[in-house]
Amino acid sequence: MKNDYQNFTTTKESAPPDIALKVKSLVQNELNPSLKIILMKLCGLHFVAGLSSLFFCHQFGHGVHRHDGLMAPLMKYGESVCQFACGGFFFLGTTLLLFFILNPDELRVVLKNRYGALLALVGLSTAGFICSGSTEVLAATTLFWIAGATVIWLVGLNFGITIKKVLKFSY
Amino acid sequence: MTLSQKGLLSRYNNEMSEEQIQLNMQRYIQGDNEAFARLYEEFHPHVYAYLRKRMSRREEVDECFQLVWLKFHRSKEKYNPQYPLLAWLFVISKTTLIDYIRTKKPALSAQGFEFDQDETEIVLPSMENLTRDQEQAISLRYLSEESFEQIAVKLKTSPGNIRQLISRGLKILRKDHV
Repeated sequence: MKNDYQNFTTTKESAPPDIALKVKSLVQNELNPSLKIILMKLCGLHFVAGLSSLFFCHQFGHGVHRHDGLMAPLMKYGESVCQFACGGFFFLGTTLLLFFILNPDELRVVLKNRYGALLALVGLSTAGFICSGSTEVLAATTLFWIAGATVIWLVGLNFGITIKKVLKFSY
Repeated sequence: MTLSQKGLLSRYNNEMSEEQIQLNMQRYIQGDNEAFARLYEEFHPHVYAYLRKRMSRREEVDECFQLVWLKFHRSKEKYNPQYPLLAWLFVISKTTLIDYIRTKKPALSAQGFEFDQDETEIVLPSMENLTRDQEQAISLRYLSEESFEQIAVKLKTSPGNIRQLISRGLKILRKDHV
């Protein structure tokens, strides 16, 4: 092993230019992935995570079960608190999942464009609820829902980065 | 690792100082294409020479070389800056080469060849029972990976005869191997 390493350090031979070009282009494509493709992935992820959250928490009158889920205990603290928590819960799954689904380079691009990505996801969610006939989306309390989603998104991203840094990944 | 040890290990890192390497590595992890290009220019000759020494076919060297750099890229976040980058690249090159050879191993093992402990080099079985022509033909075919036509030109005979020489030689090797 030692001799092998010494041999590695002392011998050199340039790779053919066409191979060098191929390697550089392969790496550079992965290093800076297209934001459009990442946003599409993120929207798909949000669709799945958001839909799954409906099992536990009604969103603007939509749920996949008859009981109230988290709505009943949260409404005890008022409609604004309930909307804030619902927004946060709706974004929690997406924020956590993206650390497992996206590769480090894609994640770096999301982190760089965190506000743009948030805007796209909130837009997608709002459009989804409006299309499904929720008139409540246009009520004033929706601002609390967006605030909850924003807080969880930003806190979740920072929390994820910290965890990754502790586990020796860097961004 | 002390600074002097680190300096000793990084003495092979050519023109780039250890600080420059670390700085480029940090920028590369943050998405800087130019930083990757600088690191590639600095270190790729070591990787290419290492693979060239261990593989005879140019296409295989090129394929494995690309795999090494892809592996380097996909695991860049795991790099520990306490150690020289060249040492890390060596580990990646060696493991990629071993994985690459393992994918080719069943075909070679079936022909009676064995691998060394690291599995990076082919060890020839004993060829004492082969004729000189059989030994040469088998070496050229499986170590230099030349075509039957190329071997025929070298040994001044027909490709058909080369096929026969190799086939008979392999039969003897298999018998000896068992």
